[in-house]
Amino acid sequence: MTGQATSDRISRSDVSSTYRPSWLARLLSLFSGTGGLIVKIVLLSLLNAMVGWAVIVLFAQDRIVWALGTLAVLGVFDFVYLRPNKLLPAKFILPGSVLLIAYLIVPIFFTINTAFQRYSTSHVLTKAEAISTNIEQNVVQGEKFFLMTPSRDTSGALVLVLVDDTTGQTYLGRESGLEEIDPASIQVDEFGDVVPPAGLTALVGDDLFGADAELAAFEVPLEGGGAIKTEGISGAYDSVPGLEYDLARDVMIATDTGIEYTDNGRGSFVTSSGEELVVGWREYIGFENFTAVVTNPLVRAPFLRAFAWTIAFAASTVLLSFTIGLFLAKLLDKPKFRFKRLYRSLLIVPYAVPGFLSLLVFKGLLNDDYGLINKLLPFDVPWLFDPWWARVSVILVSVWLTTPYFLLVCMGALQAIPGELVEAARVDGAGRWQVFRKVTLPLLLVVVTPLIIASFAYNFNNFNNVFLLTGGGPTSSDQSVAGATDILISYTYKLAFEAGKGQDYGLASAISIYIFFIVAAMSASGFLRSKALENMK
Amino acid sequence: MAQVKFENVDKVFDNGVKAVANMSLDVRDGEFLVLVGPSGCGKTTALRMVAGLEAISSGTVSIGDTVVNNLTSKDRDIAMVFQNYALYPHLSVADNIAFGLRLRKEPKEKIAKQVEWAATMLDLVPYLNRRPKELSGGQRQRVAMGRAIVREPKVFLMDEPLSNLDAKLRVQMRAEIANLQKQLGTTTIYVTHDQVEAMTMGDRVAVMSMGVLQQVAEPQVLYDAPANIFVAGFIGTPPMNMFEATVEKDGDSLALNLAGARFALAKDREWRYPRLSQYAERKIVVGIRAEDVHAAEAKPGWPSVVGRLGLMEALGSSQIGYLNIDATKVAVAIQPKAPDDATANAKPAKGAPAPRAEDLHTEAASSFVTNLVAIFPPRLPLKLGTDVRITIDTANIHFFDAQTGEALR
Amino acid sequence: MNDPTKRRGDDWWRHLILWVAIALAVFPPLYVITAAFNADQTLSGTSFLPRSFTLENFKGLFVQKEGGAEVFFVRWFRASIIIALLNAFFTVFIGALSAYAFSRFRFRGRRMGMLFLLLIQMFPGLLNLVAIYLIVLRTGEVVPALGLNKLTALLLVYLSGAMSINLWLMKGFFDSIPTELDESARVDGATPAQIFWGVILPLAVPVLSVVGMFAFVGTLNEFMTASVLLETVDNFTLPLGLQAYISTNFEENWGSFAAGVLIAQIPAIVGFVFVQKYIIAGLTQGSVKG
Ligand SMILES: Nc1ncnc2c1ncn2[C@@H]1O[C@H](COP(=O)(O)OP(=O)(O)OP(=O)(O)O)[C@@H](O)[C@H]1O
Ligand SMILES: [Mg+2]
Repeated sequence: MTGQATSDRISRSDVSSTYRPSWLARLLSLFSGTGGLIVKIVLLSLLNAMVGWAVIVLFAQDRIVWALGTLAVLGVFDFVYLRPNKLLPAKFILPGSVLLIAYLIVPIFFTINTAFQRYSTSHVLTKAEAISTNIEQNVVQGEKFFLMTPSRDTSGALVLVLVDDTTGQTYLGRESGLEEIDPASIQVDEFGDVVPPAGLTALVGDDLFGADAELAAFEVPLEGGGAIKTEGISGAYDSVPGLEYDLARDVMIATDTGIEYTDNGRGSFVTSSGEELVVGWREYIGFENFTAVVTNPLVRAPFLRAFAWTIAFAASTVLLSFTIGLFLAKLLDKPKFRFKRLYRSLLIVPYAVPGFLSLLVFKGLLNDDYGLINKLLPFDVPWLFDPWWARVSVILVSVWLTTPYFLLVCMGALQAIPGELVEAARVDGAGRWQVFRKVTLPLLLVVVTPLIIASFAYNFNNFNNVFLLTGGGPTSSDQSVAGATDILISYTYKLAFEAGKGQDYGLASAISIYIFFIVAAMSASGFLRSKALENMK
Repeated sequence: MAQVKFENVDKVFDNGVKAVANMSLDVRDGEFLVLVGPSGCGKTTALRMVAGLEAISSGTVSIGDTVVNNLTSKDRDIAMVFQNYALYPHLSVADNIAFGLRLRKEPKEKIAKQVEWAATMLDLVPYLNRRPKELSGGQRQRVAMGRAIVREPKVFLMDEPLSNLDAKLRVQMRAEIANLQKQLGTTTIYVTHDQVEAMTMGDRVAVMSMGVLQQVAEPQVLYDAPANIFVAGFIGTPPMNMFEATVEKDGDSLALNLAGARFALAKDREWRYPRLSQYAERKIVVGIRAEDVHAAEAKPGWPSVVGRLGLMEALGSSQIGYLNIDATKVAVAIQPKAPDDATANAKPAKGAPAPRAEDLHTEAASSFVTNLVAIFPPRLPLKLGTDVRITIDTANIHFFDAQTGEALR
Repeated sequence: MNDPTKRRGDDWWRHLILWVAIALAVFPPLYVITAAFNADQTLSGTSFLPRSFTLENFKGLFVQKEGGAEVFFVRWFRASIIIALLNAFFTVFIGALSAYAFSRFRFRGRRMGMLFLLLIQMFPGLLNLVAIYLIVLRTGEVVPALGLNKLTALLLVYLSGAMSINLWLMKGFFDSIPTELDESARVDGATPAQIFWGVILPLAVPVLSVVGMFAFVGTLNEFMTASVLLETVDNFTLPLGLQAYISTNFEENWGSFAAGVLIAQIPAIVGFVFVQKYIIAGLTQGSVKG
């Protein structure tokens, strides 16, 4: 080779003739050959052990379909990872896909499925479960009354010695059931107390009172439904089902009155006069949840209010943040401006602090009675108390949180605008404002518009900003779930998870799907815009 | 050490592009073979099939005595130098060079020794601890070479390794690479679209066009005896002049009719183009290199034709004149015209194919265009726009079939 | 001479406006600092400048006051950090695995897969909460460790939530790494796994940091999913814990709350400073949170 090296200014100390591999190069060999194989085998064995165990549990719980399904997934894993040099893409994609399917795709289908059902607080069970629950819960007191002597057998289990108040027939009541015994096997001692048969010890004194709670929960199941329940510490009565289910006609019949409850096709048993059994079940009801948003005034009003507010909230947050961010960026966008970096660092502080903390702090700052802001102001503002002021607060705080993002974006975008363009406009005689309007802003918007749309979509579902600051409140005058500052997503959340007014999963899912379409439309327009921009370039 | 053998290799991409068609080629053991052709002709594809980076659609590629169609690149024992060097930006020069050895779990001492050897060989010792981005283009190129040579593979594959360098460095590296290959004696396939590289570096040169191998020969043979119009037009600067012409039987001997003049052909012409006599009275294509065109006054007594001088380039040692003579120029399509030209549904040419007739454009002679390039001695007084009388040295001219473009041999 | 390009003196109004903006930006964080050290521990007693200095507020986070709100600050903090770190790590790791496959392999369904990911990414994970709640509930009946009130379950939900957007981001970056690098490694004898570890990952550090950082901060910040899946106050993450803490006795716990906020923001800020340079570059490409 020629003397290329001599022409390079390089000190001889740079010369190294002994080769030392860097840690990166060493890392590389770690993952080849045996090392990688061992890692693979260990991970795969762990996975097999854990999933295998879950499968066994599933079988034990008689969930055969789920067990087989899980087993199949495990099989796919083993198959993919045990075939050498085959199915390469699958090896890389599988872990992500499984997660995605389990916690995103399955839930999406589940949500869609739920949206078509009546599925709410009193409609969570299957029909069979609802029937038996109704029967269990609708018990009426029977005719019998027993004198009861709580005892324990040798193993310490509770046994009730029962004497029928009217017939004098005697029984032993266990958790497993009722057993009739010979009255002669029971004696009454000199105090008139029952002495239980051999092998049982009557509870007395503190033991008896101590077993108070245990007794109250104790039930002796009867054949043909119903049970014997305790009353106090010395009495018991039998209870019988107040409802019967007629399988042939699919109706529930009240045992005492003979009133019939028929399946109304919407997850409830109702009488002809419209009376409903409390426990219903999940039932497909078609588009009812979707149409409720339009037809049911109780749903429509809060939905529309939340919808309008969501748009207003997201739009004003994004527009204000963008405007302020752009304004500040423009102020900073001056060559050799003093303290530029310091200013920038300070201005993006709200972006660096975790949002939830800032929101909770603002909640204190804006507190109507004690908050610092009201203390500093010469007058009191009902920041979180008054519906309109609460909306203002939510927007202001969101702007505070979002502006630094747009500041950064605009600073980047402004820098990317070629200086010659601005100079050319200047030379052509445009004033500062005209240059900004006619040159800078249009060019900037080309870059920033997709981000504005994305930010809008993000704020559209900005649960935290609403929920942590106002909790969606203050409560609206119509007492519905949606408060004055509830956006669609927090309204949905409340519908589904805040038990106060009863949970309605079906309606919540239907609204989720509406939100999906709204967000998808917005994202699509953002996507198309950026595609269009790409094509322009 | 090993030879590389292509046997009837086809490559059809998923999108239907037939990038390599029916390629058969023997690269001998220890040979420096240059694969040359215009952009998009399938050189890289052919090389990548040897490397195992591209599946072979049909036919076989073997290295040594092994058919490698189904071997991964790892098992082919080859090394490749990429056009943009493909150095790992996050690794030092030494780690870059050692990369392949480490993957093969060579013992530490051996790696160190090999890296040192390669670095010394390529003058890279002072840079071993630098990152690629701290090197100049030429140094990066040498690191890429180093990475190939340390492994002492059976075959080197190089894909335009010099095209990112400036002209002067390229000339220097050209010599260095050729030298290095001679020292190591490793079979090398070198891809380039630069015919000067091809001519100066290769033991043999393989010319490709539109996926089809046109001719494989020593550089001088390519120049002196191109197999078809394409090779004739591609090899040599300035490119060979080609015209439609006729050959007439003149009793026992043959004569060329061009631009109204008759050039008698010597007997040995016929011997080099034995089929020429069969083409008497028919339209053929004649190829004339620029250095075989002379000013008529320098060759008194030779037949001459008139050409209008459209452009002159004085190079000092010679002058290049662009003239327009009264003949129909035949231009060879060096660039593929449309992608569908080369798709699979177009029938692949059989045998030793040449560009099909539709690839040959014919340009009508007109006063605005020049159709002939000539190299004149310096200081010959020539005036632009005037008619110049020129003559042709028929000893070295070439003849091709006007339909198939093949040499009449 | 009057040089029109240099008129420093005109800048005072810029500085003035900027300082006003800065005051607004840093006022709440500064207030948290003063409140944390303010001996007046109640909200009603706060003032911007503390009247007297104390460390009592910090103590309040770690020591349960008699009859006061339940506070498990250490547990909340630990839970949040652990889950945020794990989520950042696995998001980067699993996402990078898939992104590598989508970027480098050609397989059937590849384009469809990417489009599908784009589509489901528009389905905000939050909207799935009902379903996720029920799935986690059921899973817990089989594998208690993945059931309700378990951080592991929360982690899995977080991991799947941002997968698709991260995958797109990383794939985009991987696509910009020249394929010659992989091919060269392949010729040198590297397996796909080795290429992934030795070539792609080291070169993708910028995008991996950004993705990891946002997963980290995003997890620290997440409220809604956690509030649905975690049930008891001792298992809460920081946002849940602090929210519960001040909502039970807002007035009185203010000082300790501020102290908690002060500590809680440290990890995120450290992380932010760490990857700031990549983020600012990433922002303009429209890739990250807004
Ligand atoms: N992955 C691919 N898929 C489809 N077509 C391809 C692919 N790679 C190359 N081609 C096509 O195959 C033909 C040959 O390409 P190749 O890269 O081999 O050309 P080349 O001779 O190396 O050209 P250059 O000198 O410009 O590098 C071209 O028409 C190209 O468009
Ligand atoms: Mg090429």
